[in-house]
Amino acid sequence: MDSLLFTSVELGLLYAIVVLGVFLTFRILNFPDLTVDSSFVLGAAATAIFIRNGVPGILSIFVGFIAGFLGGSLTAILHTKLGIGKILSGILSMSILYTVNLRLMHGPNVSLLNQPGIIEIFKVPTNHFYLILFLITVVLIIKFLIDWFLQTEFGLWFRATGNNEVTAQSFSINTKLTKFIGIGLSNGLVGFAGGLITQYQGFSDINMGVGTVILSLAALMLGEALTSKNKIPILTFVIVIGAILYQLIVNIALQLGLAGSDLKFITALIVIISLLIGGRNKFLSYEKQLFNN
Amino acid sequence: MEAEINFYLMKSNFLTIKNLTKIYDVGSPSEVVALNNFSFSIKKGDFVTIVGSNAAGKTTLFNLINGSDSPTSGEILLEGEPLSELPEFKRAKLISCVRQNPNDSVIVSMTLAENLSLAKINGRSANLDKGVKKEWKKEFKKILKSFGLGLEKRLDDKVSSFSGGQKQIAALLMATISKPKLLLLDEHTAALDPNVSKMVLRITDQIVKEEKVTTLMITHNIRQAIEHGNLLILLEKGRIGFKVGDSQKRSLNIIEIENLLENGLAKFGKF
Repeated sequence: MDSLLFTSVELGLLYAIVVLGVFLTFRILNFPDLTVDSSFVLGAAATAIFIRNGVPGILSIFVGFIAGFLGGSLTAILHTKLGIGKILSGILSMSILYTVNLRLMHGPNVSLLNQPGIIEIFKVPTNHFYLILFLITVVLIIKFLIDWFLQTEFGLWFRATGNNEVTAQSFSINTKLTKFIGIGLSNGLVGFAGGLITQYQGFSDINMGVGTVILSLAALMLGEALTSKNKIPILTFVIVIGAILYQLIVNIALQLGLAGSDLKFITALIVIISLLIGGRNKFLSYEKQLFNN
Repeated sequence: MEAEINFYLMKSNFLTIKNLTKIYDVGSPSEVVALNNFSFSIKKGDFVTIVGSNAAGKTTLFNLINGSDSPTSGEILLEGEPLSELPEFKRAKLISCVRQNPNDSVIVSMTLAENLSLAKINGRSANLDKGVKKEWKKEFKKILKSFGLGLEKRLDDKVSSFSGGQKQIAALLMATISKPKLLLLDEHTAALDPNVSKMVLRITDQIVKEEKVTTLMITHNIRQAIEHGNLLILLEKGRIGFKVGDSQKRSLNIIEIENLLENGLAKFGKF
């Protein structure tokens, strides 16, 4: 049971990075970005390929970030330059990136074959302490970077774009630029997490990203249900807790005898319940987004 | 010679609107002439109130000035420069607008200080410096204090928690803190109750006076149009139906104008 708890915390911290990325698009930019399912794999695949080719793990995760950023850029370009709707842009680049990922990996998966990655340094078979400490450090650095970014001048532009694009433009905000950077950064974080998770599990797989968006939403809503405050530093904190909680719930469900294939159902259920207990108003924007675009 | 004089006149006028025409759905049965060969000019520092019945072309005029729509023919000159040649982001810096809906001119999910900082950044690129600067906050506090509404204590509150009147005050300050050349007020008190509306207009007068910003204000309320500003224009079917300056304006009474509005409309055979 102890090992199960630690594994949940580890996975929760890893996925917290994805959830922080999803927070930037869904919550701040008001952009329901479905690219995440495939930019996650793109980051994982790119990292795996670089590690296989002898690039040290610590550098390879930045490759994951860059790959994710490029994946997000594709969605941003489809939306801002070609005027394709938010949801459809995400679905289109998801489809494009599926092929890209297969090509990149020369097949459906890439094994790291015990080549040293950054996770390996901290992963001691019987002791989770160092790895969890490392992951907490990484997640906190990202959390504080996001908090800082959203308080900068550009951060104000970014938040204004998400709240009211027309008003933002009347303050001479280039909303195409803010969307591009925002969607790019969000998917960059997702790709970065994909790279870390690849190293954690020792392989990358074409299907590892399926359901990442809904998983992230579940974690996001679980976290948000913990607070009534609306301040960004608090939100980015509870989101991390939400990501860990989500993994715990999933693990408990598995312990109770549910099959791995039942998890998608559970995840959707968490989202639905969070929508109900979190108060309809607070989450109305999600519904509005999903149906208005 | 005549051309030269015209050129001089144009230069001396701050905002010049020349033969502006806007026709929607040209050639179709639903064709609507919103502005019909409309011309007028105002001087720097003028505070013009614009009244007119529905579909008189008031909002069309504003949309053409702030660039959210383009004219069928004619042009608009700001200090002798055609506005149509300005890129969008420059126009946004020169011309500020406060709209009727209190949620349309502010970013409700951000604090008052953040909103005002957005207005401060208006006209240049944002960078990665702190968005809300200490010295800006001091400046905001000072201005807000001069309004006497206690808004200086709410700088760190989200604007979503503000009342309609407070949002419009915030919007007015945001619109003028970036020192625009032209301020457009599109029925900015229409959604407020009479007392709040009065308060917002008092602050409007104060800001216009202090910032010396050239202002155009659309209103449905004839009393407001008479009591505020130094020039009153009555729009009618896309043309100027009636125009009075400061001295005459004070001697007008509401009933007279209401009669004018009615007679004017009767002249066009409607109603």
